[in-house]
Amino acid sequence: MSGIIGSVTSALSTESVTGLVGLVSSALGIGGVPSLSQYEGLLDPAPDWMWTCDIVNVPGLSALSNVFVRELNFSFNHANAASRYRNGIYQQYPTQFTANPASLTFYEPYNYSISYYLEQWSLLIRSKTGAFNTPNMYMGSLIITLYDPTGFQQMMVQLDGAWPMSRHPYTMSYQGSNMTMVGCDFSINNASVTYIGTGMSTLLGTSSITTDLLSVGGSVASSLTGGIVQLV
Amino acid sequence: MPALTQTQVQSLPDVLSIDRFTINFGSIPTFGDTSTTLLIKCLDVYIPGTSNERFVVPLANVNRTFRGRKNFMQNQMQISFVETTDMSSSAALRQWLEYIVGTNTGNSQGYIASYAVTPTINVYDTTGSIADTIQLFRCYPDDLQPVSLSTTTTQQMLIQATFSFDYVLYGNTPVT
Repeated sequence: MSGIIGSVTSALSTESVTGLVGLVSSALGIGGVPSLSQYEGLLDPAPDWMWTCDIVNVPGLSALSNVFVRELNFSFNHANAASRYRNGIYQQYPTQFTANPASLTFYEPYNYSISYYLEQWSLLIRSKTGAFNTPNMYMGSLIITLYDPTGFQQMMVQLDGAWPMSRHPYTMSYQGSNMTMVGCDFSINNASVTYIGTGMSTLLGTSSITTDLLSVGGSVASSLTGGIVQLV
Repeated sequence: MPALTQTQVQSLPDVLSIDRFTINFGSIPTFGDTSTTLLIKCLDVYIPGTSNERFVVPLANVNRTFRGRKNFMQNQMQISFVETTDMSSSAALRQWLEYIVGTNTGNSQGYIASYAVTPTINVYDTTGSIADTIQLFRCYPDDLQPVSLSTTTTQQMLIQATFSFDYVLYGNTPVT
């Protein structure tokens, strides 16, 4: 086997390999060092500070306005992979799709109404007497809207089946003046995404689509520090 | 673009001078009306600056810059007042600061809606007409600086305070 590979490799000179790569790259429209003019043609980046997050559809609780959500970290559905041995190599196939938890940090007013809200929501899951409710009695949704720099809605993510899974610890101190940071991780069943951007019509053939995201491991991290949305 | 002409230069309006202004805090907590104290006795103030944050996106061998969020001078500005023998500048600011955070208890006498005010800075032209109006929203003093006393010189006593504010609206600028 190694002899055959060796003969094939040696038959291709450096120049011909480069030429072949160039032809393939040209045909696919990829590769090559980007020119300045190509960068000039890029659209403005997606800002990671222009977003809103509303909590809705929690049974018995009113919707929580997006003004209370200060920081947000959410993910899309991701697939687990299972290996199958085929033709001498392990091939990976998707199995279950799951959604990662979303993490929110809130603006806590002086009357601790956010803490109260989260407590009431938690009591819908498990009452003070220890009785558990059915999911339809405590699951809500997070509606995340992402905007472009002009304030136009470009993308909406609806995280369904949300319930408060883990509230972050409160850190109190006499050593400074800061607001109480209230955070909570929410369990999520499913992330569905709507693209509203006008540029999508060229790319996807429709002006607005709703779909379950199939991207593997995609996540959007956002904060108040400013910057662009980082896809990792 | 041809060179500027005498006619073009002479057609400009009069320049604004920096010494024709007022800052009106209105009524402040505990002390009340400030029209005969802080307004008249203000020595130095400035029109707060504003900036549109920027961030840099490195792309291969190119740095591209884009606009970020809007900022107002870190939301603070310093203002100087002349002190008079009735100590009214100090009294106004001390009482205001004490209302915001009590020395004995560490408590506020009210929430921000009651201790913040909306001062207006007016800039006047040479005829006394208002040329510009600037409003500082949710403004309150956060720092009263040390007052220098000295026998080495003779000069007026100055009271300098730092004020916090959330945002500024400029009178001649449409807000979108």
